[in-house]
Amino acid sequence: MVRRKYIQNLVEGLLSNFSVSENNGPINVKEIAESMGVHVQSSDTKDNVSGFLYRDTNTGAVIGVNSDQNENRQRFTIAHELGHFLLHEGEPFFIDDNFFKINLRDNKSSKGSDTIEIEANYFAAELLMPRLILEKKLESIKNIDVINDEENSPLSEIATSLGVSKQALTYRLANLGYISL
Amino acid sequence: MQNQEFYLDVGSRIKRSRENKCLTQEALATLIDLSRATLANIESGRQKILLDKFVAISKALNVSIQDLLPSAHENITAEQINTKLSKNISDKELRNWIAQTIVSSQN
Repeated sequence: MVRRKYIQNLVEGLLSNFSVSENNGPINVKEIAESMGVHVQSSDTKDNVSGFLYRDTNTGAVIGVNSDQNENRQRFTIAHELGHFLLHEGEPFFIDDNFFKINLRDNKSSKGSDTIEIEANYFAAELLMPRLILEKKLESIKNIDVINDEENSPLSEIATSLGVSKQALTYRLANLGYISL
Repeated sequence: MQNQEFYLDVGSRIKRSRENKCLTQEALATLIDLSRATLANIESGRQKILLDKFVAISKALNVSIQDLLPSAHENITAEQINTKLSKNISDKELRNWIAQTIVSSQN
């Protein structure tokens, strides 16, 4: 089961510790992760790898990010791995890849790996596109036109202001019931 | 690590774990035979936890003891991490990148 309500509350609590408002620009995910004692390190590697979460008692928790991917993607990677860190503590290692995922799973874990990835993605969406901020940003928009792919379309502008891809934003708005796909 | 910081860290790890399992302080306290107030003190680092209760919490939450303890901060080399990951990641280049990134993050 995907713990949506739990994740929603968790992110809400996290964001309340940071001054987050609709005019502040993209959420500073790196700062949030580091405030929780997670080391965030970026370094370039081949482009099919997004990042990983590693933890052991010697290193503490480390989020590695592929600095070759675009800025939005890197922010998503940090948010996604932070989701694993907070939600899936039994797992010592995750690597997130464009094509496949490897988890060194603790066999005591009761959750399937799909659920785990869905939860981490949901966490990332909640964190990068907070519902209250979206609500404010959407107030001034009468018609949400997902087909309009001009640079200055309202959706593109919101995506840019949050530092997320338009695709991620569209998916999020559908999830929140603003639009149907 | 300073003594107080240590217990603050342990306490917040217990709290995070407990919340992750959707247990109230009351519920966890009952499971390990402590009062809710004592558990609250432990979670906020105001009270030092006894070892048997620490183990009981680890069992009750089904979390490893290591996860509930702060890092020992021993230096670990890229080679050690590489070895550790070799069972699960066959791609050598990827493994090296991960190991190097982890080591860089420690500085």
